[in-house]
Order: sequence, then structure tokens, then C-alpha cells
Amino acid sequence: MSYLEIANSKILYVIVICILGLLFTQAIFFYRMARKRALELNISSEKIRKATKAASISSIIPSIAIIIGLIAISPALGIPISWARLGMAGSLMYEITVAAIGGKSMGAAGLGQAGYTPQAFANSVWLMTLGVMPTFLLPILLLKKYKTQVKKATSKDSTFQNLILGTILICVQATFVIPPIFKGGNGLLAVVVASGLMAILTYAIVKWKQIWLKEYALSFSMIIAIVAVILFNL
Amino acid sequence: MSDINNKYNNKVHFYGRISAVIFLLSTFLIPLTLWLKFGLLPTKEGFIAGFTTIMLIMVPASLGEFLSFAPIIGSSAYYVMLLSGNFMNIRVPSSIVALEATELDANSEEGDAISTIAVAVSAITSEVVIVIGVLMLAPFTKFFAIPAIKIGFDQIVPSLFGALFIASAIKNYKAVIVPTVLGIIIIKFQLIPSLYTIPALIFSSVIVTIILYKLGFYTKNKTEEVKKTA
Repeated sequence: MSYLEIANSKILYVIVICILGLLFTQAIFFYRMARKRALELNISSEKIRKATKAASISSIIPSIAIIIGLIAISPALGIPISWARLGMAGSLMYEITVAAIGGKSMGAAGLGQAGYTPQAFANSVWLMTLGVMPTFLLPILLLKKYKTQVKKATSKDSTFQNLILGTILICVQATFVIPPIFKGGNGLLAVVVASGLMAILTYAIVKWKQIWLKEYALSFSMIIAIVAVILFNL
Repeated sequence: MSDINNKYNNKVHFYGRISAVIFLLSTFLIPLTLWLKFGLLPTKEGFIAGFTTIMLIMVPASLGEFLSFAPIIGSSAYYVMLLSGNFMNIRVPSSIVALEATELDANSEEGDAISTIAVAVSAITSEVVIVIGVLMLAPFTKFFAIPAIKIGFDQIVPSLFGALFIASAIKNYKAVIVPTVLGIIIIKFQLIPSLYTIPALIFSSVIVTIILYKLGFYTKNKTEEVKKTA
């Protein structure tokens, strides 16, 4: 039995589907708990619906990127493991790197390349599983304490609180926007189209009170930017 | 914090921790099956070499992610995000969009609830999309093999954050100045390895922002606005 036959075996599909079941159970459990809490806090059903719609619409396109990642690594790792690692717990950015390190440290040229033996495959899988340990352990041990500290540090002054949280948010955004601006090419085109369109839509929301656009503005800007890059490269 | 808030908060962390531990343990079923059913194990040397390398990357990267994302996302949302992964490219943006649409901030009780609803819905949406992707892998593979399509979808992250960035700039242009200037300096001159750019940028920006706040840079306009309104 080749390692790829093992990697695509039924038992691994069954395990991944069980893990997926856990994920769904937790998401639905927390959704219900948060919805109940939101209603207790007098948040209208209309607002909850808006949040649900906005989150769902904005998640579709980036999730398609995971399918592309899946297509890229499943020939080396098999479908169930690629599915479990890219779609659950891990992330598209880290998993491919970790899997490649797993292969390289066993002497392979790269993921699925020359020298990628069954043992190298096992190494990739162990390292991907262990690689998320710090991501899990930090919030399990420290999230409650850290959140309390953040609240304490900023709660006395709401302007200061909003400013610091806003700054953190903008830092995350800037990290992904600045490199394509210097690099140019398709990344720059995507940033220019998406931000230009978003600026127009935000203007429409504020100036002409088109509040309904809020739920769609991000996804719409993102889709048009991707279409622009596709057309530019045809 | 009121008793009701405290009770809810404790419940969130209790169930969050339990679900995270159960999920983490369940992910070990995959390598354990490879070992116990199929006898596949890496060599000791290869495993130690790889493990050391990834821990050198993952420990600081996870710490940076934790310190950066926990303040801008609700507690319960963080636990949901843990299981579904893809923090930067899907979960955090979906929470930002939902909070924007409802005009709430993540650290209020209301924002915490909405952020959780957003991340849970985002997790379910993603998993459904991925299941469809797995079921239709053959036609998808053909479609994404078209070079222009692949190049287009490679630009999801820049378009996503480009749009979010401009929305932040329009909302509060002053808050954008410090992270942008420091970001340009750090990224352009490659002062820090790219893996640590986010925590380094957050750390330096927060410090400069606090100094400027104390100097009245951010409050000046507000005082003028209040005067004008009066």
C-alpha cells in the first residue's frame, strides 16, 4: 500500500468528518449562546440578522482560497489530511510551510517532491498537528486573564479604548496592504481596485445613507478586485 | 462587572476551554492512526529537527497572533476561531464586518455577542464551502488550473485588507497615520522578519499612539467639534 493510498484511506475520511462534527457542534453551541445573550442585551433581531448576513457573505470568497490550497497540497498529503489541516484549526498560510518543513527535515526536496517518503509524510502530519499547540494553549491558559487586563487598561477612557483597539486593527490591515504597494503588479492592482471601490461605497453609505450597503460593501469590493486581476491577466 | 456578565463570561471560558481541549486531542487521531494502524512514523532525528524548526516559528508567531487578535475579537469568538482556524484571512475580517454593520465594538458586552455570532456563522459558511470543494475537487482543479483565475484568487488577502484599510482610514484618518508610517518604515526597510511584522508593528504603533494621545493629538478635533456644536 503506497503512502498516498493510506493518505486517502476511508478511515482518515471518517476521522476528519468526526472532527468536522465537533467543529460544527461548537460553532452552533456558541452561536446559540451568543444569540441568546444578544437578545438579553436588547440587541434587535434585525441587528443579529445583519451581523449573520455580513459575516456569512464576507467568508465565502476567502474560503474558496482554501479550496485552492487544498488542490495544491492534496496530491502530496491526500485529501482528508489537507482538508483537516487547511479548513480546521490551522490556516492556509502556516500549514503548507509546516508540511514542507516536515518533508525537508526528513531529507526530501520539498512537499511531495523527490525523497518525500512515507516517513516524511508522517513527519509532515505530526508537525502540522503539533504546530498548532501554542495557538491553542495560549488562549486556553491566558485568554480570560488577558481580556480582563485589556479591559482594565482601557475602560476608564472610552476614547482611549477605541483609539488603541482601532490602532491594533489598522496595524493588522496595514501589514497586508503595504507590501503589495511596494511590490506592485497584481497585488497592487487588487489593493487599488478594492480600496477605491470600498471608498466609493463607504461614501455612499455615509453621504446618501445607503445603510443596507454595509453588509455587502466588503465582499463586493473584494470580488470586483479579483475579477479585475483575472481580466488583467487573461 | 455585573453578576450576570460575570456568569456569562465564566460560562464562555469554561465551554471554550473544554471544546478547545477536546478538539485539539481529536486532531491527534490522524497521526495516531497513521502510526498504530499503518505503522507510519517519522525517524527520531527528522522529527526532532522539524519540531525544533516549527516551534521556533510557531511559538512567537502564535504569541503575536494571540496578543494582536484577542483585544479586537470577543472572548467566545476567539474559542470558535481556534477550532475553525484561518484567523487573519477569514475570521477576524468577518468579525470586523459584522461589528461595522451593527456599529458595535468588540470589547463591549454587545460587541462580544455579535463578534461570536459572526465568527460562528463564518466558521459554518467556510466549512460548507470547503465540503463543496472537496466533493467537487475534480472540476474545481480544472477551473483553478486556468492561470488568470489562480492569479486572481491569490489576491484575496490584499483585496480584503485593502478594502478594510480604506474603510478604517475614512472612519478615523488620524488613527491610520501612526500604523501606516511605522508600517512603511518596518516593511520597506525590512527591519523585522516578515513573520513578526504584525506584533512588532502593533507594539510600536500602540506606544507612539499612547504618547500622541497624551500630547492631545487625537483629542484636539473632538474638543473643537464639541465647541462648534455648543
